[in-house]
Amino acid sequence: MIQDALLKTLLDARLRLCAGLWPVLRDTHAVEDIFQVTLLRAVAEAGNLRDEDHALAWARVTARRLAIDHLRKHQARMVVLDEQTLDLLDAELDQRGDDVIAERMDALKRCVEKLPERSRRLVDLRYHENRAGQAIADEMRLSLDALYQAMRRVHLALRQCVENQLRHS
Amino acid sequence: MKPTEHDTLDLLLRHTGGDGTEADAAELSRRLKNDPTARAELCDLALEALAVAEQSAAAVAVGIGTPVASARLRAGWQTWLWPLAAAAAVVIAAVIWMQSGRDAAWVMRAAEVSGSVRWTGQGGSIVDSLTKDTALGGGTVETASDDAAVTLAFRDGSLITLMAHSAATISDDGQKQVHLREGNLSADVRPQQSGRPMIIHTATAVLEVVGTRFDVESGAATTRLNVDEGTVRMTRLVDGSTVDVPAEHQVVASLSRAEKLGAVQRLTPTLNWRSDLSQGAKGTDGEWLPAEAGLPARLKALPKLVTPAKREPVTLHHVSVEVPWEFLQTLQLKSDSRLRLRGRMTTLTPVEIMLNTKRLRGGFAGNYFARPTPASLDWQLDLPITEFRKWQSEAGEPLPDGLQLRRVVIYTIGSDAGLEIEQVEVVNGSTR
Repeated sequence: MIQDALLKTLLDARLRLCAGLWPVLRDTHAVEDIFQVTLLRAVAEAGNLRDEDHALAWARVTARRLAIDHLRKHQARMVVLDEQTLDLLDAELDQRGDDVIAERMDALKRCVEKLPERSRRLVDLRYHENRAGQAIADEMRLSLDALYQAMRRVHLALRQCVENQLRHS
Repeated sequence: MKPTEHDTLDLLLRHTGGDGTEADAAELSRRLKNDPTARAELCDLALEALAVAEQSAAAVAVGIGTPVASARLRAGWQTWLWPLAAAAAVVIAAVIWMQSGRDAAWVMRAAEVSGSVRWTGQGGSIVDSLTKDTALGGGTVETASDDAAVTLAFRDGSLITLMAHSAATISDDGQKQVHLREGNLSADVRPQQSGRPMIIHTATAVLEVVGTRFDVESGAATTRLNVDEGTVRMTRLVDGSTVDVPAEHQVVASLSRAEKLGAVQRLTPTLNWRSDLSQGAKGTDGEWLPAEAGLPARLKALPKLVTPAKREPVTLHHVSVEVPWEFLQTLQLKSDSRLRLRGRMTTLTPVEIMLNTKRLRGGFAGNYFARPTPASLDWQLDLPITEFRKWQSEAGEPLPDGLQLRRVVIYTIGSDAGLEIEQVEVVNGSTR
């Protein structure tokens, strides 16, 4: 593939690829870093990639391998979903498609802005600052169970908000 | 609570939050394999995580350079987070911009280019051999060879120079941001708007620059800053400690909290320096060989394929020796300075020598070359600095008096001549 077309393909699929990486890494900064490295490697590999499907499949395999390497380097305890499960998740994301994912993402961002301050702080600590559950529980002065109940409520509220947004769009 | 008593969202939150047990993971895996709604839940959760991260990163990026952000820095409140988030926001913004495919006004131009310089800009467009005077939007620049250097000029006249093996992502949407992934950067920054300093991110530090001249060297574990003029505020990411580095001072930010972050005054100028390869390979390229069988520690040249613009690729066998940081800002090349090299080779062939230099008051000063042929396989060269020329040509500009030496690169062209370097030395003309 020519490099411009390759990059466009991968950038168009960025959310899909990143969403597939997050369950492996569980760290949004690491996801972005791995995606960037995958882009750079793809550029070097452009001549060997036949078409969009080949490029996406190659990018997924490469990104997943980079993610596992990243975990090995940075985490003492590594619990990763097995390959078959990750493949099923990728298939779910493929089924949704980039346009649907992008639309949901836009709605999500609007809904994140509407979260009450404490809820926003909670998800910010978890997904922006990428802190582990116990560290957030300590900062928010909650028990671990109470923290996960609170997070569950925030996610359910976000999903309700997104459904409302998408219904009225 | 037994794992099966959690609903799927709860299991997912605990697993991704690092608090799931192995039994939880097994149960989660079983559900994800068998239940499409569980997979949909995880996909939704992933998108929610990314949405929160992107929103928060964008909000932080907007806040950078404002009094609020500075106050956070001074208070040391999770200071390592906002620069990272800002860097992420820059990357995300760059990606979104690249996706849009629209034309954008140029924010900088390539004022000087030498060696192999690659640019990745909007629309994912890649320029493998950037040329002088090319107008550029935001993007990533990489200098990919020993002799590579690029000076980028912003609209306000501020200059940044990357050299040797360096890479940086640069943007300017009213506030200049540079994400120096690795390597060396020199900057000459014009006074910036109040509250919108230039921000330079490295792996271990964030620099706020209002208007000054300085050099930064970024590695995975340290960031070294040397200020020639003005003041630069450095924030060490590992603990958020900050230091204002004034002119003629230097500082190193590492990953160690134990090391006090403090600026030290630059040492007085020196005219002599000798490499010490017995201490290991630090600051060098090539295969380091320890002292053995009557031979001292040395560097063996390694092959490298170089593709000059519009020419056929050539193979080099090269080593390089960097002037250590403690000498980097003080070692001056005078008109009577000499470069002494000790080495050996298995095939007699000309040796190419490149001196990478900077100006006394900051900024890249160019690469200067000489091409002597040793008299024997076991050789010592003693070369007046005045023999070195810019652009590998005798007609090229000679090396001016008073530059500072950064790095010495020694190589042979073509097949392997078995080049090994034992010592690199700069001596003043009056030194024996």
